[in-house]
Amino acid sequence: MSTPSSSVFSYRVLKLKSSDGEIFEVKQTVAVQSGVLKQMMEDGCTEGEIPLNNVDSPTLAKIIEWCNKHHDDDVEGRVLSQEKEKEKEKADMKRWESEFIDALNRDELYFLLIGSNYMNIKELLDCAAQKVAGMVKGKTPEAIREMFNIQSDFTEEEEKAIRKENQWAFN
Amino acid sequence: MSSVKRKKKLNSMTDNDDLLTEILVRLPLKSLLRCKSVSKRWRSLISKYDFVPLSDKPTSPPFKTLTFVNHPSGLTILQSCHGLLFCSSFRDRDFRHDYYIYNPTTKQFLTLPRPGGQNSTFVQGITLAYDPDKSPHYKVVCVRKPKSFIANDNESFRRGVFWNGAIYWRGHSFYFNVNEEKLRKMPIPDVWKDGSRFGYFDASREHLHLAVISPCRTKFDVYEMKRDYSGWFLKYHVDLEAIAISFPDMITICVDPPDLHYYKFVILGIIREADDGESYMVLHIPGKAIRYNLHDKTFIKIFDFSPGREDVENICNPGYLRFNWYDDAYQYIETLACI
Repeated sequence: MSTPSSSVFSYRVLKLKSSDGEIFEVKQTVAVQSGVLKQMMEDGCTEGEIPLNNVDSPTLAKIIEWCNKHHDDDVEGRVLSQEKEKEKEKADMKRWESEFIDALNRDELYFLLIGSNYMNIKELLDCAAQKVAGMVKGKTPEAIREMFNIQSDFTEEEEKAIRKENQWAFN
Repeated sequence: MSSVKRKKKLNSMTDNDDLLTEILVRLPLKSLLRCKSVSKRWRSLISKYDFVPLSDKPTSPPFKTLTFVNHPSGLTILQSCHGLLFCSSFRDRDFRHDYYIYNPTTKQFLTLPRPGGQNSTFVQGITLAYDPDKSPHYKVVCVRKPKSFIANDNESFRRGVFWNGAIYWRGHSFYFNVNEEKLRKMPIPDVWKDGSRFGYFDASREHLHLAVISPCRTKFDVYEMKRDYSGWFLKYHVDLEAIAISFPDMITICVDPPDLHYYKFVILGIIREADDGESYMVLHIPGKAIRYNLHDKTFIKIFDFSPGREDVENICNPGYLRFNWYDDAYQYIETLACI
């Protein structure tokens, strides 16, 4: 740690409890990336276990892995003085992010999206939403329904009418 | 972790409007329109926001020619109005035009019925009035003149500007309130009274702009109309000298008198951004298009026109630059508006 004050701060940890009851300890300096946890810290209500009812343990582990990586990057970023090295760091981080997201299976990705939205972690939400959008892109409505387990509630006539109205998109 | 519990969560992703929106805004337009037929909830979400996708920033021109109908006389654009293009054919042998409303995003178009058969009048111009914030419906306003009436300015009603519920014509001291269907007086700034018809007159977002330029000067002012139509106020001071220094092709030395020189440029558009610090002007200078930030005065070349045919000098007004004989440019805005 670069300064004494930040090192004192960084030793304070939050205890996060996943929906299936597992406890994860996370440094405050890492947890601050979550808008929800940051608000709780500012309000001084982070004593004891913090229940995250919408995030299960495999997902929370992934979210913490993401936050740790991005936290480390911030600290190094401050030490780096060379512009070129900063650029390289940025590119490395982009690569790490896409590898991280690409390694997830479909279910893991969905849960990560829900979790990052629930915990309000903007960068992770951006990344996961972009990935899901990439999966939706180019698919037929039928394939999208199957992917998200959605039942169509249109009558046959209604569906015909909508397709006609948006015919350009189906060519 | 039981699979039942996981399944429940899976549904909660697409049940959450915020989360679904996060995904939809990242889709290219074509996919977005397809998604309208996934379910009623998806359709209402997409229609409700009427959003333009973030990821679909075009890097190449969305289209280069107007070919949505194959008209024997060819087509031209008269007006861009909240994303819809109002187009007409060039006149045919009977001096008549066909008029179209075209959405270049969805490629939908509508052919307007030809203006009625009053033989005693000529059609002088037709203007589209469409503001999706106020109403999904549009109106089309036609200006006619009696055949017996001889005016020397035939072109002045050809291209109208729709702004703030009313139609304006360059150089005229009245406007037409579309809802009231009444003509009203419009104050005009002193610079306009000089009779100069070269300049810029168009709307962007909630603002109507006017600028009068002189080929002899790099400095000019941009005026904006007050929302209550009561007058114009000075909005931007512009000085293009720095651009002329960077691109000296702009400068033409005059033969007579030899100490005078002209600057060749045309204002293609004054574009307002939500953050006014980002508002800019697009200029056409010989061979190039320049984007000029109206606040910090920075500029950047955004396009090279292929050499040769585009820059046409106006013979009547030396130094004044035209683009393919028309000095008009129209903004391309993506919209899902149905026609």
